[in-house]
Amino acid sequence: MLKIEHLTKRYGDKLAVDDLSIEIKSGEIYGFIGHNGAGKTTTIKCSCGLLEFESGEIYVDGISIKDDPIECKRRLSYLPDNPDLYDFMPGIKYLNFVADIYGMEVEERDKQIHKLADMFGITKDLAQPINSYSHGMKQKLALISAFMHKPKLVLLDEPFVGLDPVAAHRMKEEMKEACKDGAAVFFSTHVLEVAEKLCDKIAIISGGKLIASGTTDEVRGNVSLEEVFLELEEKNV
Amino acid sequence: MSNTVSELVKIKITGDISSMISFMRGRNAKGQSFNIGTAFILAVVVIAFGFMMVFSFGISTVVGFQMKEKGCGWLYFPMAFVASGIFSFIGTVFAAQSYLYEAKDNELLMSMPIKPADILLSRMIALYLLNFIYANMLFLPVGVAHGLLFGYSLLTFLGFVISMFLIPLLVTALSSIFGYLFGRLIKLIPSKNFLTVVLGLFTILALSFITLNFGHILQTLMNDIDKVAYWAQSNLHVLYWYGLATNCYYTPVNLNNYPLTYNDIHFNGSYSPINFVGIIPITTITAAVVYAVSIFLSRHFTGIVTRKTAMKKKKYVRKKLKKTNIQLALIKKEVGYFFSMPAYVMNAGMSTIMAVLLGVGILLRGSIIVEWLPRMFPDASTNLIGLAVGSSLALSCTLNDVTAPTISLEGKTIWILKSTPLGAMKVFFAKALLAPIVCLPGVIFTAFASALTLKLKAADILFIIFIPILACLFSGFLGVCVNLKLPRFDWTNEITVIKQSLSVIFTLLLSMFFTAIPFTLAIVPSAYLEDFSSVWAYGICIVYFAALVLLEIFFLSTDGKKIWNEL
Repeated sequence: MLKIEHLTKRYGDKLAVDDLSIEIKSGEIYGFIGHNGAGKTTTIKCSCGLLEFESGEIYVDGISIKDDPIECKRRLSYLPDNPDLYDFMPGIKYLNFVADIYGMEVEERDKQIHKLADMFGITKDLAQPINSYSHGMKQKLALISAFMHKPKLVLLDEPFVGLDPVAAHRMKEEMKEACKDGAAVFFSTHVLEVAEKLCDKIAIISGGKLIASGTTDEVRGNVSLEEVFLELEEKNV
Repeated sequence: MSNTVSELVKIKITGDISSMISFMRGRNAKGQSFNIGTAFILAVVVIAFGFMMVFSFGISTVVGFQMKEKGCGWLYFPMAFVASGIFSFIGTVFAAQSYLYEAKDNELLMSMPIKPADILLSRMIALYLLNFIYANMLFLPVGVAHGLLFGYSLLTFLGFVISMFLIPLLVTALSSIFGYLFGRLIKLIPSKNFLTVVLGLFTILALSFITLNFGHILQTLMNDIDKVAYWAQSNLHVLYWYGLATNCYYTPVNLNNYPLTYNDIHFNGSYSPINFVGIIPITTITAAVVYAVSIFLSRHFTGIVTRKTAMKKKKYVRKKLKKTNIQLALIKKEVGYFFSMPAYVMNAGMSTIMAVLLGVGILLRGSIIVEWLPRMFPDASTNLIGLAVGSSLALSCTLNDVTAPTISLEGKTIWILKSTPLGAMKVFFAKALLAPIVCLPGVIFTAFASALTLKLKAADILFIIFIPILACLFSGFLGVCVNLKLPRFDWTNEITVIKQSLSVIFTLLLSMFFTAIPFTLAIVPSAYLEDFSSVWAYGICIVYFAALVLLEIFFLSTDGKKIWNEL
């Protein structure tokens, strides 16, 4: 569903991502781990067409993001690490706006929005303007907008930040549900325990380079993911 | 002043200055500084300050001369004190709220071992400096004019210098407390956006009235200056004593036998040092007001800054959602954003106000235009009224800079538009169409007013409807083009983008310039050539604007798309 081939991205003189290749198949939950500034966010932003890149290729469902970004974006949804939303809109209007962009039918949007809003416990707040929402509520609203149109690829940057334990649990369930329906989820995280328990596959990035990838079992071997991560980081330094 | 306070003042002032300069300098889409901006800012600042100072000097000289002639020179500085104070108050009262109570770092500073009173003091000092600039922009030329008209003694000069520091001090205290009260009041009102817009409109209309009638007001003041002086002398004792302390050109016959009669006014140019005592009451009152305000606000500062008004929760009622096509959804989003911010409406919605004012003017005085134009241009082969109204409406549309900050205003939410399946052109069109949406109500009103009052032909009516629409589209697309070239996403407050960004200033200037060209080309031949029909004039304008709009769309579909992808 997502194929990144030899991705290289620079910010001026700084090499943010260096020849990175990953493939994520339908039905997989793929965790992306790395220290601050390792290149996780840049990779995700390139994958959803937010950032242009110097070399390499990214395919979403077999379509090049460079050649046909709009078609790729129809198949994916993206959630940044700190989702700023349109503060002036009430929550329900924001969700309806996103549904309009993805061309969702009335019945479908109505069903999906309310199912997800009930799941995250924010239905009663949907009439409130977003500027009255807490950080966690904004995160939940952004998650609803990411999942409601049933994308084939979900790209999430630090999705657990700001979520309460119940919401975090429900989001994991939603990620699994989406994968059961044939979607692929690619997310970055610093919470190694979550990655270890939730992901089918894991990639570790350091200094813009991929230093390990594979199934969760392959990456961690007989030790914990934390030990593997720390050891690889030390070696790389 | 403690080190903490001086450090906080330094941080506030340097932060404000660098943020203002950085915003006005502008950056292109790649984040590089736009060099022409620095010279441009300097020019704008010099022109604005220069204009105000020359204006103040001119008025002071005229009014001061009358005062001298009529022997009431004592009124000169009290009047300047009040005028500079009001000017400064209007200029800074809304800044007071954001400087003192809504500063983003208030909570951070209060979590540190700093006394709340010190934080407040540092903010008030910064506000004082702002008031000092505003007040003395008017008061300094007043002092120079006084020197030329009346001359100075050592004591009157000292009085002038003290006043330079006293006026901003009093205004700082008043705007601080007013800012606090206004903040409290607005939190009690459910529809504060509406209230702010109404208040803003009222202020604009009041200022427009004063500006339009300034000559008459000034003339009345000069004719009756002695009566004003007499009234003030009898009723405003503190100002009267202050006047005695700062001007030689009126010494009362007997200070102890006050109040004096109208006939007692003398003009002798003498000055007794005892007069200087008259500055004490106004200084004492200012000190008392500043002290009372400081004590009150420092006691309540923590409460004011951290107070959160409980918003009445809107109950969500599940209704059937409506599907809208993408373009309309984007337009609705832009319109929603515009009307959610009173400051945006007030700054960018001037075009509608101007168009409505024009319509009201035509309804009330339309017959004068009908009679006046043919007499003014006897050689004109055609009826100039349609062209005159159409061009005025189109020019009023150029005051519409509503789209100039729209790209920058996406700010940190730009990921929404860029990560979803939206073509850049859809986004550009939604932003550009905001301009006619905002302008059209005023244009249609004025078109109807003109049709009713000016007895226009069908062609004229069509022209005065279509040409402003084209002008609106032109300025709307222009705003998007300029903003794509000069976007800023590093703002912390939307007002900075709406009011200060280079994109807005450039759009306004370019829009006015390009709109003035066709009308000059159409009106001049229409007025002076016998064989130049109005159809030709209308044709020139319509083709010109249509071509400009097409050029803008071409730019957006080529370079504009590339820039959008790089943002």
